[in-house]
Amino acid sequence: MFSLDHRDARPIYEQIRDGLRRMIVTGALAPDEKLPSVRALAMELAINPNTIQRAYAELETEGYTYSVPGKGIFAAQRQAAAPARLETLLERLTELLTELHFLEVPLEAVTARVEEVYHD
Amino acid sequence: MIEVRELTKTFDGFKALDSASITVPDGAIYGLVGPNGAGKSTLIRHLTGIYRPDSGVCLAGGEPIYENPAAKARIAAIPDDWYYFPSATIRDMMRFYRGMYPTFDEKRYEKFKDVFQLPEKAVIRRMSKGMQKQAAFWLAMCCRPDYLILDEPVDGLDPVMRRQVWSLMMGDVSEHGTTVLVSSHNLRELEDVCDHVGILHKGRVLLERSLSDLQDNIVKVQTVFQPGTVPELPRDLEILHTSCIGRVYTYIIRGNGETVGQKLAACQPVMIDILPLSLEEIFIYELGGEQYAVKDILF
Amino acid sequence: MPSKTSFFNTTLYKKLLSRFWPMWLGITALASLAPLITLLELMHLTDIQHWYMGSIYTSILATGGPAFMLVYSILAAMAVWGYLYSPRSVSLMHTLPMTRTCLFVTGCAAGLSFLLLPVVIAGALLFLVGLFFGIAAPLAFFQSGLGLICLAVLYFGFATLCAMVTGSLLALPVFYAVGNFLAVLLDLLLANFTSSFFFGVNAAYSGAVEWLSPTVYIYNNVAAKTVFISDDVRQCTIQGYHILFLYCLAGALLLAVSWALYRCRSSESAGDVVSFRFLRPLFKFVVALLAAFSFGQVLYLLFTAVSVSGASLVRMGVCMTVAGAVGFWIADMLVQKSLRVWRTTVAGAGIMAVVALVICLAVRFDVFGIEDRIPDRADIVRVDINADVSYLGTLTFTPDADPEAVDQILALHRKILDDKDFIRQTCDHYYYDRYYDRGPLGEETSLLYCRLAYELKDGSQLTRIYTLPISRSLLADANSYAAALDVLVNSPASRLRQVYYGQGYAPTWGYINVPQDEMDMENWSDSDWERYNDICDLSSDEAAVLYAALAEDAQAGRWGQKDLMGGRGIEGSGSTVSNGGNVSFELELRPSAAVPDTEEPWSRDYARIFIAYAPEMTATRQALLDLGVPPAVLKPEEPALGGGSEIVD
Repeated sequence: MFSLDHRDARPIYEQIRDGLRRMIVTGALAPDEKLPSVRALAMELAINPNTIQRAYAELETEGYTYSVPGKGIFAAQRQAAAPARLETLLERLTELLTELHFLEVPLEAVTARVEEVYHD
Repeated sequence: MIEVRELTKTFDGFKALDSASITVPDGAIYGLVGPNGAGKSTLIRHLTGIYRPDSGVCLAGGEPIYENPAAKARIAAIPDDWYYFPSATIRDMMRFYRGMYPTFDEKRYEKFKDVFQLPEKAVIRRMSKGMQKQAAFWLAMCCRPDYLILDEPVDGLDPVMRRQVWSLMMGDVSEHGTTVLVSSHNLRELEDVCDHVGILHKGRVLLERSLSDLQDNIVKVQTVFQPGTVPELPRDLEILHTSCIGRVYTYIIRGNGETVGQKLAACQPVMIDILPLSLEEIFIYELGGEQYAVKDILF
Repeated sequence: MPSKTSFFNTTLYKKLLSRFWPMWLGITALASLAPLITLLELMHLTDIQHWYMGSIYTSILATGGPAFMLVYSILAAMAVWGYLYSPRSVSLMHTLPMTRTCLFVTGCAAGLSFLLLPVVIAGALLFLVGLFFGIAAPLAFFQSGLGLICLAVLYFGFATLCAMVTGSLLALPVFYAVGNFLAVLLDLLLANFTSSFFFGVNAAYSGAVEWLSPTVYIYNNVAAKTVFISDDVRQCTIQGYHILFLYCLAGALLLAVSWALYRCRSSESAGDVVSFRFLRPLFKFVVALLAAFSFGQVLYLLFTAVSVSGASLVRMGVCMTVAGAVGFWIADMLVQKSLRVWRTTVAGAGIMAVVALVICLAVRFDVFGIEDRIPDRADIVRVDINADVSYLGTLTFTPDADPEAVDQILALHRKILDDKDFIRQTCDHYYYDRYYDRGPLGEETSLLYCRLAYELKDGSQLTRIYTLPISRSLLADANSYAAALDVLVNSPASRLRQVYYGQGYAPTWGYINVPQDEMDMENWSDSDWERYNDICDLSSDEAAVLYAALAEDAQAGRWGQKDLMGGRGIEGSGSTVSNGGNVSFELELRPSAAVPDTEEPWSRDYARIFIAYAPEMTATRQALLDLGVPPAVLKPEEPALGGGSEIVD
């Protein structure tokens, strides 16, 4: 489904969580589409199922997925962001903007890009 | 659950294990690490019922293992040097194991033929070491054990087979709750698969934690302070290591990433980066506080 | 599927049998030669006796059984217990869900199966052969089969014990071989040792602990016997059959001990020479003692061969210490698996030196009173005396029949012991200095071999062999042992014993050798020859007359005087057939009491005596004359004691 980068210092569960999140955000995993089972992903990636379990749990906390008992885990519909996640994202945005500002990128270029994404 | 309490074993005056204690919860994948001669193989041989402890207990599922066929029937081992009868084929060994282990699954044996791709009628003695190891895995997994004990298991397997083997084990762990204990030198690999680790050194257990515990509670912080000032860091931050290149300070701090970040924010840094540590780095810095010289443990 | 019982594992059993099929199948093929050979033999016989099969079964058991089981058992044990000697294999076996007891029972079952499969298969074939020829002897068959099972249990039990005690596959057969013959070996070594140092003791082998070496004991005490009942009825039995059952029990006991040892045995002892820590000192000392006794004696012999003095206790002590220390060193190296064992070896060598010292002191001061032991008169059942005096033979006396002679022997024995230092020194001197002077006594001396053998009431025997220096002056000294021996040998009782008189023998046949050079035989007629033969051949009555006359002469001292200085070379009177021109006669004596017919006829007890006539034998002379021997032949002028006339070599 996706591959792990072993040279990445981030913990594995973070990589999995981030990877799945990306897929949901970009639409690679459509809303209400079933995510692979913990077992299947563990076997595919050859990593500890508990690690996978942890990543899934965090995604659910963040609101990206929901679970149906007996059926599995599904990608959630677009919905309001959890506050913690919002905070993290805004911080990252601040970092990026700081750098852009440092490089003297005009505000117009930035706002233009923002509008592009939001109108998708 | 595998429980080892105060296990001591002496060979002709040499103390191989000195009050070692480990606990492996059900369904966990436990990595036993340590330098050569630390006692890993000795501990494993106690868990498979080969050695009798001089003192201490060794339990699997609450039952002592030594001389206990009921307990041993639930344990399968893949030793670093697997023994097969001199002229046996894989099929011969399969029949032998089938007669010994009540939970041996012959259907699984047939299914795994495609996975392992080994000729079952070939004489094991003539196979390469890697293929012999694969055969050992094949048969051990067909025993459907509740406890799988592996001593340097993937040494000698090619990367593809390594992944294949781990993949199968992961399946068993998640589906059947098999408990796995792995002893290895390779921290890189263990990082992926273990959820618990224990370090053995000179017969003693130095450290035993769940991996998430280890990873969540130690962070690497790279930070740059306001020019001209090197503020005093909050006293309640447990700093394990400090280094600095130019104006960039790198701290290894015990604690959760968020709380550490908040505490440091009070010092008004120009830049702060909170990074996770690899298993290898965690070990180095965790044990840096003990009396053991780091170079003894690095493997 | 694993078996339900927890004491036996079918999978392992089948695996052992299938793994080692070349061994038991090969041995079975070898054993099947017996029925094949029997078949071929029976096919060629025209007259098949019904007891043939019975005797074949019994002789297979008694002759081949022990050797076969001795060798095969160790092979079976090495096969079955071989997994204990390599860490890899013992790891597998002890990881399997089986108790040690289960492993042990299954292993023993497999081992005994190995041993008995050839027996069963070859035995069945042999029985079929017997059946085919109509001479199957089922009773003897089962008896022999049972006997072989007993032997299998014994030898496999011991092999298993050895297997449990060691951790090395190479050490196992060595322990087994030494252990099987240890008792006999020690007996021989001890006998050799005591013979060198104890005056008069010349033990070859006592056999006291022979039962600890079953192979030797069984071969000496268990035999196939064919009992003669009538000309075509024989019964085939095993003499000493109960011994096999006793050994079977011993084997079972050994297996029980092995089981207990196995349960305590640690897996990590694979590769060690001795697997139990508490046995290691024992191993080292046993090896050291064996080395001291065996190689110590070899060293001693080497040194003695190049020395100018005789037996030396000091030399023996040194040799034993050195050999013992070396033995200890080697054992220590084996146990510790290292070449650097100096400290413990020095300690061990020290202990061996002390042991050797104690032994030598014990011998020197005859702590057990071995040398000076003379039986009590009341304990004697029988005493034999041999002396290397011309044709004396062995004289046997009992306290009831010859109380005087027994007293004389005891007195002689005492005198010998009183003079033992003198005797020893003289002999040493004689052997080592004989080229330089006439001997320590300054006169002609001969050494006389003298053997005394007492049979005692408790069944034991006391045997002493002395080499006694004899000279004329010693003979003249009435208090010396030489004089005592002289009195004994030349007593009437002794002389009568020499011709078996008074021991229940009666002559059945006789022949007189008449010298032919005096007679002109070429001109004899037929009736001359007839008369000659009539004289020479003696009927039992004639022989009886002659015998009685001889006894009279012997009693009176006119026959049978011996000269102790004579030894073998010089013919005293009362000897040989060819006495250069003199008459001689022989008599065959049979026990006069009826002997039960249990043995084959030709093995009954009988004796023959050859007597040379000498003129002073007056009664004999008269008897010979009465029997028709021409007076001219009986030369009265010949000198009495043999003094060198016509000695025919």
